[in-house]
Amino acid sequence: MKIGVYVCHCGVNISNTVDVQKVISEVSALPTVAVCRDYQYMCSDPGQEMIAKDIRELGLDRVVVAACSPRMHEPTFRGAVEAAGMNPYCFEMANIREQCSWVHEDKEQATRKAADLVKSSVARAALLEPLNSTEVPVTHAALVIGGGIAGIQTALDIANSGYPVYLVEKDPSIGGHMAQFDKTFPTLDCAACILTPKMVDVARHPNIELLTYSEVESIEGSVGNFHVRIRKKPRYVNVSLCTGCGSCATACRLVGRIPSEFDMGLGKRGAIYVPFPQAVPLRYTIDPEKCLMLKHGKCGTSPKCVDACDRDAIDFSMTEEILEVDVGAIVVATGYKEFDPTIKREYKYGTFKNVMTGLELERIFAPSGPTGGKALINGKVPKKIVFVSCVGSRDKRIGNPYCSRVCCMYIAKQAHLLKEKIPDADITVMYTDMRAFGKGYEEFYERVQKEGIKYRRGNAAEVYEEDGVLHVRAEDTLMGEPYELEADLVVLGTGLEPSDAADAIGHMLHLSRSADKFFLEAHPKLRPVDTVIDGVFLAGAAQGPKDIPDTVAQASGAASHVVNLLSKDVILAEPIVAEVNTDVCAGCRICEILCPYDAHAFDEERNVMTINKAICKGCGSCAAACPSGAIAMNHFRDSQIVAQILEVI
Amino acid sequence: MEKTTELIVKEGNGFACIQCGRCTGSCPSGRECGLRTRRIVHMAKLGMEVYKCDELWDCTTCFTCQERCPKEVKITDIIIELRTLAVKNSFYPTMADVPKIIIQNLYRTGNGQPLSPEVSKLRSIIGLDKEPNDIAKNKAALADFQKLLDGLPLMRWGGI
Repeated sequence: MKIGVYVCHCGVNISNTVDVQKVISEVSALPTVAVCRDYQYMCSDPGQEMIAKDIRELGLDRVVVAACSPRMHEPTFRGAVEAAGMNPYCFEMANIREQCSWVHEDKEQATRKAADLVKSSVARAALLEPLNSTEVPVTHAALVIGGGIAGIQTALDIANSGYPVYLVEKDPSIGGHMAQFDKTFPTLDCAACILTPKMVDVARHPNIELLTYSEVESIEGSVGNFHVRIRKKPRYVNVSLCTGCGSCATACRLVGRIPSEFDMGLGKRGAIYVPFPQAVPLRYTIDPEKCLMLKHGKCGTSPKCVDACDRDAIDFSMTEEILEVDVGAIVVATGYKEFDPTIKREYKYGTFKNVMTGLELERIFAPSGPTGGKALINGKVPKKIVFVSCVGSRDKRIGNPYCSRVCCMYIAKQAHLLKEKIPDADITVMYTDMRAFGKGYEEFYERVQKEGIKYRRGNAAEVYEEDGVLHVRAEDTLMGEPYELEADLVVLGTGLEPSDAADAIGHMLHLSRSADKFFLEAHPKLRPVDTVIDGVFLAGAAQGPKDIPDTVAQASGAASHVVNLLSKDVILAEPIVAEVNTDVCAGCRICEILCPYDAHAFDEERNVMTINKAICKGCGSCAAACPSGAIAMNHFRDSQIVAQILEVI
Repeated sequence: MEKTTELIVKEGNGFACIQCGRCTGSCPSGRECGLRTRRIVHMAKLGMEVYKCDELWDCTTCFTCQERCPKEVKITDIIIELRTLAVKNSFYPTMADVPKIIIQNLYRTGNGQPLSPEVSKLRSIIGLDKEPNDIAKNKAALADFQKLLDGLPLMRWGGI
């Protein structure tokens, strides 16, 4: 056995605390070590070349690099040894930076620990076995879950690259929250004007199959080959016959009596409806919870919508359909929901109608909204308006410790729009800290202050009513004085939370969540659109609160990763997976329960467990738990781990 | 062991404070006097000798600020600890007539807020004894109680 050992200085990151020469002299003495060298930056080109040269000239069997965390550079060095003709799994890494030099101060002890870590890696390296990746074919299609701006952008980018996309949206129309907005900050572009063309592009795109009013039912398989079941909920309207003329909606007996979800309950719709006039697809849907015919089997003498429809598009016998599709990659774009401020009882949301959320006010502004775009709150023009920031954000008490990133700016935008509509309005923004971090945001903040919006630092403490008038109490923290304002309208700058759909989708795909409950990216800096599940990517607010520009950028990022994957005919599956020795397996199925990825499948006929290599992530839970020792983890076999431990004890 | 200001802030999660001012805005005392709970936490975070502030003693310990703090800062707990620190350092606030009277009452009657003629009247209206059966009624017990208080630094503040 000839092992080459390379100790990195990492500039001074390692060598400041660890005596590299001492480590070298200790390790060189090991019988299996053929060569032991050090270098300033092993990961650099000359560093990698040093290893390659030794492999070629000395005929090394194994290589150990003592440097940073394998999460950082294991792929780099695996690539380097492979290029020099060695099996990449005969490479081993000792982490003497994160687990040694960075966390210790005593140079002598750190050096001793570093030497131990390297020796331990050498012991393990001697027992490593060459492994070969298996090729897995790729299905050239993608699934995008969520039809908001994130899902729309992702689907368009993938489709424009020539790959088929299934875009699944649970609501009757795509558009998401952005469709509910009036204007967008800081440019004051009309949200609908910039969004609807994209929505229409989605509907018309030959590569996009748009599945609205549909939900993902189950997902099986792994990167390159996912099998997806999608439930198409019955619209009770034949979409190929419906022209979206709207005669049915005007005829419905319940017209104007059901709170519209799209208008945040402020506007009313009938039982047959489109969420908003620019809906895509512009096809009507019957609400089965409300429709008299569907609920009671009777609607007067005959359903008025049926009578009104010239095209005979209404079909009460419609049932749900299950659609099965195969895709190679999945993008999760499930977005966010607005924080429900009812639990912040001091703000009296739900008690007073003129205490409303940001999204509710957004519908008041919208020309298609409940007031036709007029600034009317309960029929009156508000003159004294108070905005409250950070409602449901930066708040540990209700479990949302994070900043929602958009509220400071949407408050500025809404304050501007109100001032525009009601020039004599007295508008005060009570804020904690002003976060105007994006392009043009600080400038916009300055602009609205010049327009006469008062910004007072210090958040609102409580809202109370006296003689029919609302009072907001706060401290102006810059003056150090408590004060009170009367208000006709209090707007709560409600924060963002992951959408309800995230629970089911996250569970199906085995996605991790970060502490803020949003989906966890694979790396916070360098892999912000990947998840730890290969072939599954994130776009938009599903990964964390985001404004529109950031959402669109991430959506395009996710699309490029999907296209990157779909452009390959085959992909290599990581060989570090668990394997079952079927001669030993007793069929107890303990491993099956433990597997977090559903990689295990029981072979009833032979009464043994099998593991799908493409799904297995090599976590080792099954191998550790198997009572008969029938499961071995490639690259982390018991013998390899024991040798590693014995060297340090 | 005497707690330092720093330890008090740390234990009360004061370093999480973002100075949003919800505490001061919520404070019923702050409406009537100079109590600025947010400023107390700010000064304490900076390591200032905040226990010397008179306003500490304006707090009624109603806990509204602590209940509403979005960062779970134990504001009222911090104020109570700072008061303890003030007393341990024999730092009695200049405006401390009210605490002084409370200490004197406590020493003389065993009760910080002794029975007032008004309450006495109310008691007899609903058929209770004019005086409750407490320490003030029992001279021997009161003497024992005063013996317990004698020598406490706090008593100096009450002028006893």
